[in-house]
Amino acid sequence: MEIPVFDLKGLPVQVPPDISKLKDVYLKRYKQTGTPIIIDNGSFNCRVGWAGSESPILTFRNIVSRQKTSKEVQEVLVGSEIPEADLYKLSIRSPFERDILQHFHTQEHVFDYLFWALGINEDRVNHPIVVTETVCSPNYSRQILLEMLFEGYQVPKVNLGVDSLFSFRHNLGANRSGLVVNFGHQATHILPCLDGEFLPGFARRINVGGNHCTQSLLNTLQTRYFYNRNLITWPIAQEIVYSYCYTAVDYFQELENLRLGNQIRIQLPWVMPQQPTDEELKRKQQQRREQGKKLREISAKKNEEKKKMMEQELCELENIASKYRKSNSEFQEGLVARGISNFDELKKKINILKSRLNLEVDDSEKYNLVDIPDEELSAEQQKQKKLQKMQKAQKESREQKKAKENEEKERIEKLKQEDPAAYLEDLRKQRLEIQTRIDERNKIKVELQNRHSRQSQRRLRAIAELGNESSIKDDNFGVKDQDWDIYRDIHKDTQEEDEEDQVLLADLDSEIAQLDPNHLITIGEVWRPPTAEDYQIYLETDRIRPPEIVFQPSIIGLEQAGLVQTIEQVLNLFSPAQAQNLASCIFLTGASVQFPNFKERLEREIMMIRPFGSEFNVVTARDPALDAWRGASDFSLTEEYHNTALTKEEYDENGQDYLKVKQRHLASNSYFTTPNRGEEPTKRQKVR
Amino acid sequence: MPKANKKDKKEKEEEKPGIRTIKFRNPNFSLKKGKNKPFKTFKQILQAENYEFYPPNIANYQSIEAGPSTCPTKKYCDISGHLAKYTDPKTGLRFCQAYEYNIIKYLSQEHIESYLALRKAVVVIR
Repeated sequence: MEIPVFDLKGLPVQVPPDISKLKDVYLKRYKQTGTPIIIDNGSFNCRVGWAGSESPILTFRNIVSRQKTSKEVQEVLVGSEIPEADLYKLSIRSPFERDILQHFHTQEHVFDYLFWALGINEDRVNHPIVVTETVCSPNYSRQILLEMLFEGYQVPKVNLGVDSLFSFRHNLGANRSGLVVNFGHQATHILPCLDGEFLPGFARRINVGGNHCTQSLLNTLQTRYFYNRNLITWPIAQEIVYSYCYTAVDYFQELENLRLGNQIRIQLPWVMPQQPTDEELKRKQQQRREQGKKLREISAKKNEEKKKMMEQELCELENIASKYRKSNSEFQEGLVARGISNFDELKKKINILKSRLNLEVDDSEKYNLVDIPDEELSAEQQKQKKLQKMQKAQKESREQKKAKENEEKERIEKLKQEDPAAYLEDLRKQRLEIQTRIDERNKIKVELQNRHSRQSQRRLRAIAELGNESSIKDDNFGVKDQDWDIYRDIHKDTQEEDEEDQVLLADLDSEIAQLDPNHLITIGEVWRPPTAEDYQIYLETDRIRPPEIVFQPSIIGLEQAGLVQTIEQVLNLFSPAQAQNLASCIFLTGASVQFPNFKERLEREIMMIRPFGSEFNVVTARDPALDAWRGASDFSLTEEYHNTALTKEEYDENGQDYLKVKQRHLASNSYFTTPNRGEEPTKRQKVR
Repeated sequence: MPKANKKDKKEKEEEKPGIRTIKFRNPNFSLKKGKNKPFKTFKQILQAENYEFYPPNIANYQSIEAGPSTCPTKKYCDISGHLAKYTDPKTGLRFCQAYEYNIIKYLSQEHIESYLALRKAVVVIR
């Protein structure tokens, strides 16, 4: 079955606002009117606009990038000012940590930007303001936010509120009962409202948001395509989540369905790497072969020179030896010139040279004691006899070995003549061995690039042990030959070994090629032109997995209960009548509820947790992304806004404690003064 | 005369395109009170709120956290995402078919760990 392949189109580009137009609007309609400014300060998008208008006039990603350049250009870029290429860099900052306000400098830059973009050119922001905040926002965040607004911008009035409750109010009107489910960017909230009053004591938060969906998909894909992971980036994962992911109405059924069909492939952007031409390949081969030849020539030359030198030396030594007894003075002179003490030593030297030159060695004297029984020898001679016996045995074994090698060579030669197929097989085996050796080294090389890999750790441990002085003192290092391998182990560069093996490989290749004309001489990796399929992502269960995380946070290793289970827990906190009241209006808001089938899934699962036959109703906001802003806009025009807002005068008088006195409105968080720590816990004394 | 020159310069600077001119902010206001006093981190904020001293009926950021799941969690194959019946005892990865086990067998240590990290199941040996 053919699996459809889709191309990536790229995320919609952020459109920078038309600043001059915004300024015009401000000057013509809003200057000195005291129209409230509504700021939906979400952790993903920030939406800003004038109260009473249809929709926000300014929407931008709530992020800030700092440039380190000269004073000629703007130092801090906000939202859509940031170039597309920089959007996913690490230096990008958001004012939020999870869903609470934390980086206040960043928030200050955002405020600077948005007031400037609105066109305000007075010496203070003389407009009331509504800012949204998260549910149960910590007092510290609120305090600094208010400080910033009242002291920094001298705003006359501020009202804070929860975004999802504004959305609820906008869609269903005030004084309604309902269970608000807000699936946001960083967290999911379940907020029960009875008769228009929000009950924070019964609210719940699940730490899963749209951000986690994208992040988990990104991590999964990067793990699956481990060697292509640099190609898979955040915007790609985001686009897949937006365009190809959906909520499964029945997850387990859908898993089976996806096994049978409905899979898709995503084509990643890729570039055809430069293909080496045949000529190039041939040239490379030629080069390698020549290199091998050169190396062999050089070594042969060296051997030749050595041989010549040895022969010369032998000649001279024999010359001296011949003068033994004949002319004693000349002989002695010769010995002294060469640093030899007596005639025996001279003989030994001559014998060594002869054996090296493969000349016949006069053995008679060397092993003269072996055949004489012990009784006839002195203690000194007995010792020598032992030595000679050993030497003789060694020599014999060496000769045996040589004979064996020769035999093997002959066998191979014979095999080559009689059974070329078997010989070829043999060669291929050798070739494979070398190839695996090279591959192994390459693998280690790749692993060494990662500092946490096992190979790197082993290498570092080896270095540490080498450097450990206590172990150096007396451990007989270097007695065994293998000890020196440690330096090979800790050496990252294996070029020498590689080259040796390459030459061997080239030799084998040429030999195989003589026998088998079909043998392709390839050195190292086989180059295959990559096809588009090499750069495709296969999506099967990944299509329904990202949105599933909010229902089963255990997928990403979170221990929290899923969305439906938490809804059940919340409903169980109320009396059956109240629960029924809440269930009759389950209101979905937040941009992430736009996953296809999200509502159907929730309906199906809520049916399971509600009593049999009871009625319930799931409603999605008309515009899950923007209704929070619109709700806040509606609210700012009501009487309630002015009754519950904090004015600058009140702030100046009471500080942030004012929130205590203030009346709550539908969307407001409850305020509770941060309690004192009580008594300082006495420091525990160390008991020894 | 030099004073006038300075003023001219200032005005010119303000006209530069691409640089935001901000009039509305109180010039005497600065968020940073002490130079070496950075803002609290996420953890510090939560700690400073003294949530453990709140009366139990008052909601706060920590108390509204959803509780742990009460029903057993489903196990999914780490490779394919389908329901997993088996766990590889050597690596701890879950799989549902021989096909996936074949893949698991040849994964590098690093790769295995990155699979386990997806569900925060990496065992750190110290």
